[in-house]
Amino acid sequence: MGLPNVGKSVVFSKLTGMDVMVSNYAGTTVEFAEGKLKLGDEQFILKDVPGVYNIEAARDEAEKVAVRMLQSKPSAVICVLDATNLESSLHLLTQVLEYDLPVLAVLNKQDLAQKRNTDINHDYLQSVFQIPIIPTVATTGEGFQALLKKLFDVVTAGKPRRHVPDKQDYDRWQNIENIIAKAVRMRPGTDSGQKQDILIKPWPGIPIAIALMAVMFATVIGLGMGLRQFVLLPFFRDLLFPQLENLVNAFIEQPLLRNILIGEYGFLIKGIEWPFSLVLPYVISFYMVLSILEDSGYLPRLGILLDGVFAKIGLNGSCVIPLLLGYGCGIPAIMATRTLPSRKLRIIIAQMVCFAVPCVSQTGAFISLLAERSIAAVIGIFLVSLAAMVLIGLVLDKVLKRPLPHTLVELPQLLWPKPRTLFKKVLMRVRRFIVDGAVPMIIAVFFASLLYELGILKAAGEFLSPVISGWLNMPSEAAVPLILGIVRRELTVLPLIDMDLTSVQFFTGAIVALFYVPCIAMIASLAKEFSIKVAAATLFATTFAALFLGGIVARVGHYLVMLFS
Amino acid sequence: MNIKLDTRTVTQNESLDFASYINLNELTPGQQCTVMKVPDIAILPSLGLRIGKTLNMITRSIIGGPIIVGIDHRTVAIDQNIASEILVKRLSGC
Repeated sequence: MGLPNVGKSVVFSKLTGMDVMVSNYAGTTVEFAEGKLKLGDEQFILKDVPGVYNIEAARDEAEKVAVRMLQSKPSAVICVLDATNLESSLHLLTQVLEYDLPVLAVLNKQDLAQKRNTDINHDYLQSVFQIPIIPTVATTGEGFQALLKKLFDVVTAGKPRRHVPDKQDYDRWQNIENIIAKAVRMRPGTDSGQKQDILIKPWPGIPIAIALMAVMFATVIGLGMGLRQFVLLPFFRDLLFPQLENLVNAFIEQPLLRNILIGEYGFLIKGIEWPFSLVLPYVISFYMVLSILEDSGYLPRLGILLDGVFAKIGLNGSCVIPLLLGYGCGIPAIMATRTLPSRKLRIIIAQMVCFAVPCVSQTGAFISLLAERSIAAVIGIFLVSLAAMVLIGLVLDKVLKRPLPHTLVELPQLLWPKPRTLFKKVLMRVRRFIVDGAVPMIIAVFFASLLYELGILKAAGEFLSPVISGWLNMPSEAAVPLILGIVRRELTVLPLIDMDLTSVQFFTGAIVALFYVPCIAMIASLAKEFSIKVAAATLFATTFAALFLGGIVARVGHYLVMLFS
Repeated sequence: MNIKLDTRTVTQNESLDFASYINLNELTPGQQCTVMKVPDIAILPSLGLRIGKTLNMITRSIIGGPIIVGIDHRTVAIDQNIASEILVKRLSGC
């Protein structure tokens, strides 16, 4: 247990060896994680929960998870205290102590407290609260030897700490202030918080934010392109694929099987090229940049700068984080909406992510599809995405009449991201992409290849041709992305790459892909987080929107071309 | 929004004299103040907004965005509507 952003997940991953997402903002952890911990001879289960400010007033779904866990009668509780925010940490501790459970406290962020010339007398705190209090620096593991030893003692003794609750919260705070006056000593020396203020003052904060976002965008695309051009493409196209083709041609005589492996939708070629050569470079570059933003503590500041603007479309500054995550993958974005203080906001953001935010795989596919023809088209797609988000926000704000929650947030300290943590986070996310993305993609391509060679795909294309050819003005094989796209979003784009299309048709295909159905995994996530009704409604609405808008674009594009030729 | 006001006295011998206090919204950047009256919203004490706390105003935000204040090395953003319900006493010499 602990306040948000105190280091619970870092402590958890150090104790259990399990990698969980850690970042420098409140709301990183939104669900509980379970890991095994060996103390002495026994195996224990350790649970990591989201942070909570006030157990008696849980603000959002994430905080409620933490409260539920506390109420589920665990054998012991590790309460993580923030040495740089002792007041509110101790307040939470007194609330936790009222649950009559064995408690051990960890006084984390000692390194940051030292930098602020703050000395905390943890022996005094121990005597006041009558529980072990271990100073730690969770990010380096300092103090963990003592922690494990004391934890073993606390769990095996199993003695709950009886605490008499104060009658009024006011008294709680008074007591804590008295305790802190005795326990905390400031050494002489100044600490400058002023320099950081330039990021949150509208001037120069907003120009800085715009410049930063532009640099981010350029880095993700540039780095991704570079990785593809200089590392992945040479490897696959020049090295691996010729070898594979030779092997298959040498050993497999049967033309059907041969085509399934290395033909039109050959799953050994396309099935490997698509995820690893076209999408993976952007997965890596996007998550590198995102992880730096997450760990620096800048994201909540960006949210504050945009809070007033967001309010005009019915949103909150805190919506920035789920939306940004959505540009990576929609599922963590939908999970992250748990930190939003109202269900209405949750639904609006979830819909934005489903309709108008392309995940990094789809973005990678877009860049592969359009960038070689014109960078303007890529920028155009993102502008359409932004415009759609604003529209969705405005519409849903009017439809779901509920007041906008007031902004009350604490901004985390700005920190230099640690390279090792960044590396681990990017690795974690790449691994997740390979397991949840690349593998389903390879399987989908295999089935596509099978269906293509058996002629079934062509038949399906003809069946859908009134929509595809008549309304969207695309060749009948453009039915393939629509069919495959339900499995993975980038499959709505990738098959278009090798088709013989006009510029207008490429853009039409891109628009349809942008708005089309979110992948099955996201629909399932929607059903789980909200309801089956919401998931089904999204399924139908996105299909309709994609096809409708695609047709409009096809016609408008056709007239524009006629106008200018 | 129905805001219940917390009307405890600050110390034994000082009664609340609302006329001489301003609300948080009226501070200018750089000014320091002591909190005198706080609406009864559960999260506010945990963010450091309690009677008697000293805070300094950092900046306002554009287009009706939150006010940002510094409390005890913490940086907190407060919605303007709530800020206008928080009464403070300016500390002289800033």
